[in-house]
Amino acid sequence: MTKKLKRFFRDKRGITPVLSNLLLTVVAVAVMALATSATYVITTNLRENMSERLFVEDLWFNNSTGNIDVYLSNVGKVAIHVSAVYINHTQSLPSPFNLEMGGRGWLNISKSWSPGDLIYLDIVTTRGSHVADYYEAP
Amino acid sequence: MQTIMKRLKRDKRAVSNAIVVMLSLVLVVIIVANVVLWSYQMNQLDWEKMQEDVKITDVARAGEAWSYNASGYAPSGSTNLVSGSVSNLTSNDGVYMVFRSYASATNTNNIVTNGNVTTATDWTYTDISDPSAVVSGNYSSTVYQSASYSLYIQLVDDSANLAYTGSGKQYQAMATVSTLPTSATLYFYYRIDCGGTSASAEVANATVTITKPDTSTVTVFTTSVTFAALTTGSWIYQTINVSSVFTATGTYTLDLRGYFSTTTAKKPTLTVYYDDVWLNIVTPSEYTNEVEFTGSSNTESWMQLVWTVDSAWTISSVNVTLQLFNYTLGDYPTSENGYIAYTSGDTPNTDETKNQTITVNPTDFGDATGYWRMKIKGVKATDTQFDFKVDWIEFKVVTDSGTLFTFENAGSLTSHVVSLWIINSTNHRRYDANLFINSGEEATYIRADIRLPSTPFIAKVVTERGNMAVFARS
Repeated sequence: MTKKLKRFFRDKRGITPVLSNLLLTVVAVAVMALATSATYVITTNLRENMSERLFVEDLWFNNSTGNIDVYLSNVGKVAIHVSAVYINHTQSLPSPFNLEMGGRGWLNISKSWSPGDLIYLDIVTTRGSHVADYYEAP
Repeated sequence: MQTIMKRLKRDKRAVSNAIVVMLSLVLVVIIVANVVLWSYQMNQLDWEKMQEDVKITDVARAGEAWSYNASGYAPSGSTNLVSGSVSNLTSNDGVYMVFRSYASATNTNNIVTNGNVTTATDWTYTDISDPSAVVSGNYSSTVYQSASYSLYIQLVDDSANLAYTGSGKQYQAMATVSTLPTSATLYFYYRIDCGGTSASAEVANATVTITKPDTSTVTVFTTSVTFAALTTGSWIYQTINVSSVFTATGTYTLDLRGYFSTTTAKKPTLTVYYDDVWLNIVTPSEYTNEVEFTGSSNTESWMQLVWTVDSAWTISSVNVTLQLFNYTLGDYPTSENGYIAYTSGDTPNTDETKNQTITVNPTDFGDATGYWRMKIKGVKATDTQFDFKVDWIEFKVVTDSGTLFTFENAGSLTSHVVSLWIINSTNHRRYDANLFINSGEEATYIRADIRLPSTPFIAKVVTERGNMAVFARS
């Protein structure tokens, strides 16, 4: 048995092919891992962009606060992060506003208004989705 | 073939390429498949959203009805209960509680013609008993209380050897009494004189009688004077209640009588005068029937009140007012809510059902303990007494037990309602909801926690897919 092991370690003839195969395997796996990761990243962004759906349930010209309150509902398949709100094309950035999937909530916008005002509200998410419409103050 | 296989096994160069290509293809397929799958999913979501068609067909307060009947009553004026009790008022079954009306207005008429004797007409004289033909009657133009004449009945004793007796009367058939009077009063002046030569124990009597339609006679006044000397009498005024005489309609005759007796050798002239004779009868010109009913109810928040009265009158065309006490007003209303006015039908004894639905401040019509009051009044300008027959009185309140939504899903997919909104000028209120409505289904949805505001308001529903339906109530 000892003799056999000594002969095995002394025999150098099969090492190179084995190492080359191993090295090739490692490289192949690394390349595939990179490709898979890149695929995941690319497709995740694509999927999230496609899956964003934001819905304005209600817009309240709030007399008591003088602000405009928007009730948003996330009816898409991903969480939503509102990055900016434009009123009449002027940015009016509220505090960070996030909605998980299926989430709902009030987005309070500090913006004075007068009865009869017509505003164009544009809500933009971090992924670039827009929800925009016209609203008239009562 | 064996040769080809051996060469292939020996040639390792193409294997790696093939594996790389295959793995790349797998990655590309995965990427494409995912993109297609996600795109399909989101397109399906959008398509389903487009297909969804939920409508709100109605938004109304959901209520529970509580019915109450009268538990007490109080007739007003001189209205009085004829029969029945409040237990007869619980259902419209033709079993009545009956109240009798009272005369609420009267007319006063003098039925004597030419009572103050301004002319020598309208009165007829006749002897009652005059065996010696010494009694007579006529108009006096010299002795009277007021111009121009007075009536008199006179006995002239012109014999020193005889004592006389006799009597006579002035009479007239008065205006026909067509309606039984509630009261009657006779007014007149009378005066008794003793003239002639002398007197010792001469007796003169003034008597007034009324003859009824059935020819019976009632003496309403009589007085006698015995003269021991010649005397000029004074006018004496009399006011006599003769209400009890008038027990039937028809023609009554008024007799103003004089009875005399003289003594021998005195030769007196005895005269009874009458003037300013009035007989006023008071007849009803209007009857009224007025009753206040009371009852209890609950103290919950009422959103609707329906009050109903089913009744009949024993005479046609009674002016009826039904009133429900307004505790905020502190009085019975005279218009709008809590007030019903109508004229009963042409056919007496016919039940008529009147009701009113109050949706504006219905709680004004009950006090803090739920107690309520209802006044029913019937008035008619008539000389005929009538009855009020009340069959059913109901005080029905509908308590606010939330809001009833009615939805219609006209789309081809089942919809999932997740939000309800009630919006008015002062508030935008959202409520969570969890209601599935099948395609083509009309669904009702009661929410006890939602209290509708006063109109106008807007109700909205939002579905899970992000559609909205709006209902406006003005």
